[in-house]
Amino acid sequence: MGQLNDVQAFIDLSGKVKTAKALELLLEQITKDMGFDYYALVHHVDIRTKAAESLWLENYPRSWAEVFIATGLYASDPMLVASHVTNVGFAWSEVPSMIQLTKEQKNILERVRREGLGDGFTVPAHVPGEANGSCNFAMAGSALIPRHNIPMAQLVGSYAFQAARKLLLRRISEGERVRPKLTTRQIECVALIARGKSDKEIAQILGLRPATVNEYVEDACRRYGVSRRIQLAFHAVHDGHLTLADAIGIKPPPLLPG
Amino acid sequence: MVQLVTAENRAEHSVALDHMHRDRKKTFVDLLKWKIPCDGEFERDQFDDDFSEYLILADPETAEHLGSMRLLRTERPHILGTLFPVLCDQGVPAGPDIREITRLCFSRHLKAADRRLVFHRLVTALAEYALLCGITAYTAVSSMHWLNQTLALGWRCTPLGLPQMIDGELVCAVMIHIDRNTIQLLRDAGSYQTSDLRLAEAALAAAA
Repeated sequence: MGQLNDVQAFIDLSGKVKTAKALELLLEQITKDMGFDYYALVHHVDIRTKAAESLWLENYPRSWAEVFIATGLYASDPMLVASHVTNVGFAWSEVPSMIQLTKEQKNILERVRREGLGDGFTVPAHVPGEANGSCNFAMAGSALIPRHNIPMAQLVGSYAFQAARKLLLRRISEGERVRPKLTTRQIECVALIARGKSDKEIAQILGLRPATVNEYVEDACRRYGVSRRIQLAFHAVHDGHLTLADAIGIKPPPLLPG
Repeated sequence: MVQLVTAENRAEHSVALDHMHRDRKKTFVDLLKWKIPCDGEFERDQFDDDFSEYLILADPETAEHLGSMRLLRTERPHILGTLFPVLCDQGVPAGPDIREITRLCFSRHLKAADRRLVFHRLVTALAEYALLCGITAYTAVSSMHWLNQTLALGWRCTPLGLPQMIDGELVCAVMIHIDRNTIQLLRDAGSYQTSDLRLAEAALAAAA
């Protein structure tokens, strides 16, 4: 079946993308192939404050996207709210029968139409433990959605969301992997902090002045962006600057007897 | 923690199996109202036979069933091949290296966070079992809800056909591919959880 082949090709390519831009291009193409005009793959959060850890891929008319973001519609947009009451994709024309529309929401539907969006299809994408999300496909003007392609849109929406999520997870984990460097002296100080020593005691043990120890420790805290020494100790162990044995102050048993 | 139960060792795990069949009835008959036969407080069907295998996660202290799934051989009658071949566009995948995942079931007592943990342990066990036994793929009939959850686990999945309405629910057939990258994909997506998979109690040779 031609449709399934197109979905399989999309899944194959979208699973290999390295950038959001590459995914956006694939989404734009498959959106058109299915007979829709616009797509929006989003997490239902305030993208102004949560951009780094959230999904926001779309090619909606600019004026609508701007209104959406600026007025915080992620919380009240009727399509997004309706997506929380179901796991199955639905046409926007079904929304009034799915949720009780407030006056504000009726106004939003009006506004959506005025900004050049017609009917649409929303595929919910809810992963437990993560923000709610959806993949939406919309029509320009007053065109009706291509109903014969709804099963295809259902699959594309689900797989596309996962491809986007994978990119996001990789971007977040790569950000974390840039671990701050610590000097040998700093590591020695952190190990002693982990063992409960004060700056004065550390200075005595290492043969340094207390002011120097303080400088090393403050600098290490700055490198990690933390304010408390206990946080510094944990980060250092997590990043492998120290082993847990170092931090506790125990010697590992010898590998070989004698 | 996750125990593989087959015809060979089912005698040692009859309690766990009973608990599982009871929870299957509570989930599929009582909660989801599936039109499937049940035998009193147990849910069993024609595919629960000498060839079906089960991955069961039970509470180590109380032996209570936490979660489980049933694996069916695809060269024998199974859900996709026997009941819903219409969900596959290009023929139903079948072979000694392909199993079908069916009856994924959780204890009704689990809180959401615990259910997720149980799910991830079972999924890890599925991947490990496959890598140990040369299983290269799992197939499954899935609702849209479970499709999203399955994809979110991070492993490589492909659709076998477009979704269709069956008995009032939109379902699709999906194939999960297992290869040497699968464990890393699960880790990257945050779905890897120690499964402590047990395959069999081997009778150890008694020391002299």
